[in-house]
Amino acid sequence: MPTDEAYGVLLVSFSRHSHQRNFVSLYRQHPRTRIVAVADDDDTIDEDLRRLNRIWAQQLGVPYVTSVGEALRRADVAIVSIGHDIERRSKLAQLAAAAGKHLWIDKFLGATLSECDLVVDAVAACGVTAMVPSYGYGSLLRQARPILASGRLGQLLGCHVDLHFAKGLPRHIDDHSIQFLGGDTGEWKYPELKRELLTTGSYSVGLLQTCLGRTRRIHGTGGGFFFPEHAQRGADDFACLTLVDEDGHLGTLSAGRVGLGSHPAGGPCRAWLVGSDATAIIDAKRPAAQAYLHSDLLDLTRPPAANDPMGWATGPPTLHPPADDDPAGLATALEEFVTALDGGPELQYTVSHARDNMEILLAGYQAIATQQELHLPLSRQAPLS
Amino acid sequence: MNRLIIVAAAHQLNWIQDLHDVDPKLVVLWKSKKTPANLSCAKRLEDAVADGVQNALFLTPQASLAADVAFCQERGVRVHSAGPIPDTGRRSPASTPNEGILCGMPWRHDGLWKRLEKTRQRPAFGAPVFYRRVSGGGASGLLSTWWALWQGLMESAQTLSSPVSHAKLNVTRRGPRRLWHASMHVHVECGATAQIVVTPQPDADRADRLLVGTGGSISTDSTDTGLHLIDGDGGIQPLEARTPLQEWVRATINSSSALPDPQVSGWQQLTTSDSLLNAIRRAARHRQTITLT
Repeated sequence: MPTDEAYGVLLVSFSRHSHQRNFVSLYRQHPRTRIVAVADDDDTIDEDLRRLNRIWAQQLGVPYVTSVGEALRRADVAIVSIGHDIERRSKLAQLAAAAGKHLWIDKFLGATLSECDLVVDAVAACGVTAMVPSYGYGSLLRQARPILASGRLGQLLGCHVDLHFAKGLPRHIDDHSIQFLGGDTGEWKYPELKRELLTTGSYSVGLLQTCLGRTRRIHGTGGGFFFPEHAQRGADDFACLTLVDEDGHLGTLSAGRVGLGSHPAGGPCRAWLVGSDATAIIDAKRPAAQAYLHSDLLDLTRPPAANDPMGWATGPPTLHPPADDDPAGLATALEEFVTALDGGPELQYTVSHARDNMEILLAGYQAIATQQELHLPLSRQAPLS
Repeated sequence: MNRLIIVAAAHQLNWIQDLHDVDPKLVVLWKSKKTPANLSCAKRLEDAVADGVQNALFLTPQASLAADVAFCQERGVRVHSAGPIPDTGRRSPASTPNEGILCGMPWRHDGLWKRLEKTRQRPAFGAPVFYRRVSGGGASGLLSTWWALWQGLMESAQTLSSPVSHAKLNVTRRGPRRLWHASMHVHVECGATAQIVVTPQPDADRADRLLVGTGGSISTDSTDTGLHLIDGDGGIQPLEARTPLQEWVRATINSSSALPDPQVSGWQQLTTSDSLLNAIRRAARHRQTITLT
């Protein structure tokens, strides 16, 4: 039942690869959430993260608890906000669910499909509410849902998305011969790069999941085109996928980190919803105020900060800031989460969706690596290769 | 050229009627289901091919396209087609397969594409990585989908400036009018990718484009005409500029005999031949992904 009481939020870590820092202001601004502590298993993390966690706790004026288990026993914790490295998320989510805490999980549930499955099972078994805010509430989805519901498109036949981050400084790549890594190892964390199909492609997959049925077939292309860091490891900074769902509907996406200053609004975020009666074009970067300030123009050409070369912690400079003040949909997601905790409707994007999102991307990685079309669902028992 | 047969779709009627301003002496013989008021019409191509007709413009791929082209060839009428001609073996045995047939590429007359192409050639653009092209064209079934994909494929290869190494094709059909929706995932030899999408709307002529290179991105928007009408009900309607197909038709009519578009290279000929048409058929019939190499 709705009450006026705020839900206590435990922030589990501030990994550089997560968006925990972006969630802080949301929790502070929402009248029904209150940050009560920061926690991590302090003796298992590196010095940088240990320092970062302490700094955040100090800034927020809350205790830093050096054991997650101990923090989960606190009675004032209702929500656990998981912003740890992808390799730790599944275990943390299972522990928190077992402690009866509701979950706010930044992006993927785990590093492998099996780890994602364990979270889905734990959430169901423990009866907690789990929100994965990143893939179901952004501008594209919020605009697509009413169009789909209106029936004006007729029968939906396909959905196509370009979503890129205009971040990082592209540099010449000497060697294009390194074999593509694929994605079956479950290793996603690198100090200098992110796998961009996973990082940026997941948003587009969220839209395709909403528009289309379950993905049955997938093929793709990708590689390292912009950054030597990616090319030298055989990792992807750009990739494209084509999906076919159970009814034969088509989905395509392109995703990647394409360089600072390559787009006036920080990267394209555009979709075509193709129906039998009409096609809708959604541009999440429109409408926009078209601002041309000298300093902003110069910012477009300025190299990124040395301590954040890929722009993980900073937004790209933009000349056309979109009018939407919640482009990533995080505030919308938090509102829906709180409403669900109060007994409202079920979440539109669940941990099961996030698990399937991961499966689609894993299949996409394998399809790119093998240059073959892959069929879903992937086998749960056998390794992908 | 002042006597001309035009074979076009009903949705092209409005601007076909205005072609007289290109050449006041122009006599257009129309072959379509709807009868325009101010054009000379013929129900059958045989009736339209009158004395003095030297050229025929095929602006839409009707089911009788191959037979109509063969008929024109037999009578020495030069054929200008806005897309490829299916090879059904019915062309004039007296002529070589493409004799007297000029297959155009209307997208080369698109001002937005030309600007994109010019910008791409600047060193600052770097190496191309990705090309997205979304257009209509699937509203009239198999052949119109084929034309739209062909145009998209040619344009993509030209824009990425690299031969196609392989492509995967997916097609879905739905609805009472057998509307076609297709996507083609194209990999070119330089490593870049193109995603070509054909929607089940009629206008294959207008395309949305996004070209991404290592030095930046270039995009064109088919809905951005720069001219909008706000009517009394508050509705906003873009006013249409002349389309690439219209530009191509005008260039063709104004040309005495020269082919306005350059010859396509060998691999393009191969890719745009009937193998693509057959691939579309197979992808639709068997609901399979078809690989083109």
